[in-house]
Amino acid sequence: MAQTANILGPARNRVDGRAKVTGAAKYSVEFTPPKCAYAWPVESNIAKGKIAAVDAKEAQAAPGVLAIISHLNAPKPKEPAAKKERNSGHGIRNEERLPFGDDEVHYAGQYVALVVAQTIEQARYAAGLVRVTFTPEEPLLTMKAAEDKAKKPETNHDEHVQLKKGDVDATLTDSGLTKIEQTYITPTETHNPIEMSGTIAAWDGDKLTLWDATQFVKGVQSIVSRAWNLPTENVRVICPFVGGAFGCKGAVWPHVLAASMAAKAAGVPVKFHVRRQDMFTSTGHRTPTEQTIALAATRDGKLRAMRHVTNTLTSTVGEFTESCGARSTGVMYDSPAIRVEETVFPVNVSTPTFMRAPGECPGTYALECAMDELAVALKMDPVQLRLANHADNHPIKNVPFSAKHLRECYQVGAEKFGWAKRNAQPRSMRDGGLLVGWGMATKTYPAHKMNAAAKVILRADGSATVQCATHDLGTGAYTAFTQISSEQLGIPFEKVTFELGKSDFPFGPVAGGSNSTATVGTALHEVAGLLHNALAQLAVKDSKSPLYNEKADDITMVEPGRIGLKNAHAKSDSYIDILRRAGRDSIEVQSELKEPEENKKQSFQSFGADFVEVKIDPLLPRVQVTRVVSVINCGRVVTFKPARNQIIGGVNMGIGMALMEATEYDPQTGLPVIRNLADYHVVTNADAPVIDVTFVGEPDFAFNPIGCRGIGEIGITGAAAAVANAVYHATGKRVRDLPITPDKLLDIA
Amino acid sequence: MNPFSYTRAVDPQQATSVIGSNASAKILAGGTNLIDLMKMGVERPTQLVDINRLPLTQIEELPNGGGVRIGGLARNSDVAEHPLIVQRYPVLSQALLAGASPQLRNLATTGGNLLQRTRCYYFYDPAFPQCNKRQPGSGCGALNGFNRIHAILGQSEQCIATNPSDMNVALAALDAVVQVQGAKGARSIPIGDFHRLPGDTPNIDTNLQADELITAVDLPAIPFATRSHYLKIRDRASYAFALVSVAAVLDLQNGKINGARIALGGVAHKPWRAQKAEAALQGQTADEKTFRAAAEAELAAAKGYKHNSFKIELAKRAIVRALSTAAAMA
Amino acid sequence: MPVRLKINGKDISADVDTRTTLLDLLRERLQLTGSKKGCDHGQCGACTVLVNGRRINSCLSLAVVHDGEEITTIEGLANGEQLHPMQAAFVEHDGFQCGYCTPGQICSAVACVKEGHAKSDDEIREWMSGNLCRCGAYPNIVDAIKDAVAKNA
Repeated sequence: MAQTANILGPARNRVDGRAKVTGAAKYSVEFTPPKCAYAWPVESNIAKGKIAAVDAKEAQAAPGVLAIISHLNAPKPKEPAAKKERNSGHGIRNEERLPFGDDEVHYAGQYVALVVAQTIEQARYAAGLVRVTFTPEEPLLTMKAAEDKAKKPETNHDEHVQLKKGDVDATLTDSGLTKIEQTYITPTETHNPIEMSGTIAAWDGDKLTLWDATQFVKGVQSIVSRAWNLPTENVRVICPFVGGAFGCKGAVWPHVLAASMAAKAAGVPVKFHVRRQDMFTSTGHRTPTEQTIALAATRDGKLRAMRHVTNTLTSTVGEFTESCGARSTGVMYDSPAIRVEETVFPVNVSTPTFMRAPGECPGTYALECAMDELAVALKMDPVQLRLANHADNHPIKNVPFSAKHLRECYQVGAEKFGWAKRNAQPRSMRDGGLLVGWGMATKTYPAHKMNAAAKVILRADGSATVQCATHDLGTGAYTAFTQISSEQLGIPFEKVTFELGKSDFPFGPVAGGSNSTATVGTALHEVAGLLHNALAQLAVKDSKSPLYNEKADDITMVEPGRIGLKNAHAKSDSYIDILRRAGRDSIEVQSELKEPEENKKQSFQSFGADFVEVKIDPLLPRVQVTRVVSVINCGRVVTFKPARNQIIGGVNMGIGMALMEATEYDPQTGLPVIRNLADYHVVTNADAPVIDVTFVGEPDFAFNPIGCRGIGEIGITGAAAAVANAVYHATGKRVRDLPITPDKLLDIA
Repeated sequence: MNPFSYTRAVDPQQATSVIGSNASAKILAGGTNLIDLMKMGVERPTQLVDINRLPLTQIEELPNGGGVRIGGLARNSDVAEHPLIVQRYPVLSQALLAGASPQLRNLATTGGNLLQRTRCYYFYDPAFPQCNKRQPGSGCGALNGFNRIHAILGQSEQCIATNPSDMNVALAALDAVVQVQGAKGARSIPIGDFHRLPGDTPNIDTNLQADELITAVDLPAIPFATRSHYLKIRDRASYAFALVSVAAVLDLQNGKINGARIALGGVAHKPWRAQKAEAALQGQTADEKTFRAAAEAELAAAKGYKHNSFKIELAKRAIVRALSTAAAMA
Repeated sequence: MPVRLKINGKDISADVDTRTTLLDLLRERLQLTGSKKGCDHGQCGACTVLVNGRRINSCLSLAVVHDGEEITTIEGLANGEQLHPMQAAFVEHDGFQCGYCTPGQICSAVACVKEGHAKSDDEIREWMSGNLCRCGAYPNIVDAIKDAVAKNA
């Protein structure tokens, strides 16, 4: 494998691998405290209206039932101040409404009552005995129906989503330019990590412990403690492993507070393991998008104007914007005129949320398909078209991208894939009776950095424990942070234990936006400096130390396990000797939480390219992806195996998006008809191709001292477009509404 | 899931007498469909009669060259890989292996698969108020709802659900005979009479009586069934229900079709025996043109809905492909 | 209702609700939480365990049905500290990310090999398709299984 040596960390096995393959890894709902009871929900099957009556008599009398809560009797937490919750340590909510708060029904599948019983079997049965009657009202379920209520948000998470540069409309009327304009549609997609969300709530007086499947233990702690008006530390949140998330465990969804309410009502700990069907209605989804893109270019392929207009849905109880245009067209190519518009339509469907690369993922699908269409119109190679429009500077901010190596991605990818052998003519390539298509697309995801703190306990035996309230969603965080801790602290990998997933630990932000490695890595860099300084403080006062009477500020780590003078490395002392002579078993330091400095002189963004081959039987046209080459420029890769796996997983999810994933709704009740894993098709092993992953570029030290830009999300971006473009190349048919299921290709025969 | 009593049957007679005397008792075999439906609250038996340990797992030749008998409890995985099935009825082996997953096939039984209920969203999820199959008289939610997976043949205004089984399609093409035992004795039900069309009583899937237990499925001796093929078209490569499937068995003599047996899956409330197509093939030359004409004849009566009209053309092509594949076999 | 099972070689007696699935018995009563609940409807394979050596979905099987039978879960595969070759191969090939489908994948893979359905990449892919991995680590899962097969050979 030709990898660029200086960006790749070691190909270590995961430190938590053994726990995961032996079943020892405990996920949140697997910590069953004594007397733990089980919750089972009752839901609305109307999309809008009021709860007329809740008859829980029969259910209450059923065996094992401990409590039944609804808006009529639920213990009432208060609304945690919502305004402060955006993008900060205060936690995230997308559905901005307390469960069982009132008699209003805002979407089908809304929890309207919760039964608590001693066993799962009893709770499930009794929930079926609760009779809830509704007074339905006419719901708004489509963009068309919600037209009057449409909004054009200026920002999404403090980032501008309506962009304007140059005169797009005038350029688009220039008859000398080659133009395309098309609308691309993506359906509702649902995260569906294999671990369903879930919370165990256990009260002990005014202290609450939550074992919660979450991407943000500190956020859950903040929201829940404020809701119950408790000191923050009275709420403990524990989550050592997350069974996949992809965004749906970032916000605090109704089941979290509901579990704490039910535990209060029942007087025992309560486990609320969200059902798979409720993962489609109560933990968010990717909103459907309608994106219209217009591109105008000169004959030699130079973009002169780009317009990206997006319509998406949100709910009536929370605002979420999937900013497709800003996060794709707004960052990708060098064009003198760019316009991005976003319109959001509130409907009576549960609240959408961020799903792996929110904005970038559907945005790059549409943009990169549009670029493919432009390449066809120009009779230009799709790779050449992209090279011709390569942006050295951020197209809107007009500052240079840091450590950008996208050209190399195209070049390495094309070479590995054999792109030069592509016949540009659609339907020209075959494998026996199968049509063969080759497509490509650019990938991109911004580098995000938030704030975090960390604690180190260094022991006299040379081992260390490092703690941060961060998370491992399967991303390899345990391994990456063990690696970074080892490097930064100067302690052998095997002697570092990295702990995460507890709100008791120093602050870690939401594990979302591919920010964790950069953010926590920076905190680890800082805490390592503090540790070295603390050791120096001991050494300079120790007459037996070679560093005696030196200035602590002149001292730094000079090699693993030793601190010494910055300008005379030979004068040094070992951590172990310093501690032993000081009679210390251990030393403990913790970094402070501080806002990250924003570098406005550069733009930090990862890029990549996917090259995809599909094969299609023209008569029975199910698309099979047969191979993928993915080349990624994301700064430094801390640990190779999990990083490569992230790209493989992202591409596979992109293949699912392109070919099979869609949550469809019943037009009458507003309930999803697709709400289980038999009907919601994710990629199976038999659908997954061989995926060749290469990382190129250089560490991005301008971004952070670790040099990494994050890796969780870029994998999915562009992938669906590369598949769709390959389908076009194979068949000559451009399908512009995902997923590309066999029925949409019947006319290619 | 409502509480139920559990009885382990000691012999088939006992099992049939329990279900014959308690209308809300159900037979439990592999459970892959029944337990699922009980969790959903669709099936609500008060008693389960576990037949898993009854000696009904045989796969054996019938006497005097009479074909093969498959026990009602033979697991789908065992049937699929049994030499008698692989060699003599490849279409059945292929159909079974196209269904579900290895784990589910290890549990699922022949009898249970015959009784598999529809995957119609409106049936499976009681949150939907309308389903004539689940609650007679409530209406059909699929008719004006999302109906991509629904029927195009033999449906009624009361129900447009499909039978989701792969195995049943192959059994239909093979003229299987379902052996059942009731409180009053045993009888044989030809596969074509086993499943029902929805008509005005979509709540009744099959002609199995309340006291009857499936003890075996007999496959008649069909020497030319070695020339057979099962084709399944779905949205992903594996572990998905059929959009459309075809079981095709061809009797070819010198390039002429001496007989053909074709059944379709995913298109109707029962495995759909394509008799019109079969008639159109009789005595014809085995080529694509003939196959297409036969497919057209079969699907002439098909009716699609908002989301499933594509199945009509897809079914035609699937018939052509399945027949072509069978015809090309050595 | 009383049931007696041999789980990972140990005799277990329990009094269970007839409605209790094998999966819920393992996870909620016996604290054998290695077997995972990913859908509770036989649609993901995370609950895969071996019953009398055959892989099944434990979420769709009642505990009472298995009275007297031998169950092997992920907790029973390793030989003390020595990982089962399939477990070791999954670690080596990074055949997982979040790890939640992993116990089911590994139990399924062990059975897949034993059934003789791991003779080629395509065969492994098809015969492992009853175990969804939403993280999409499939290529690594295939590599792990191939490696385990090779090392046993």
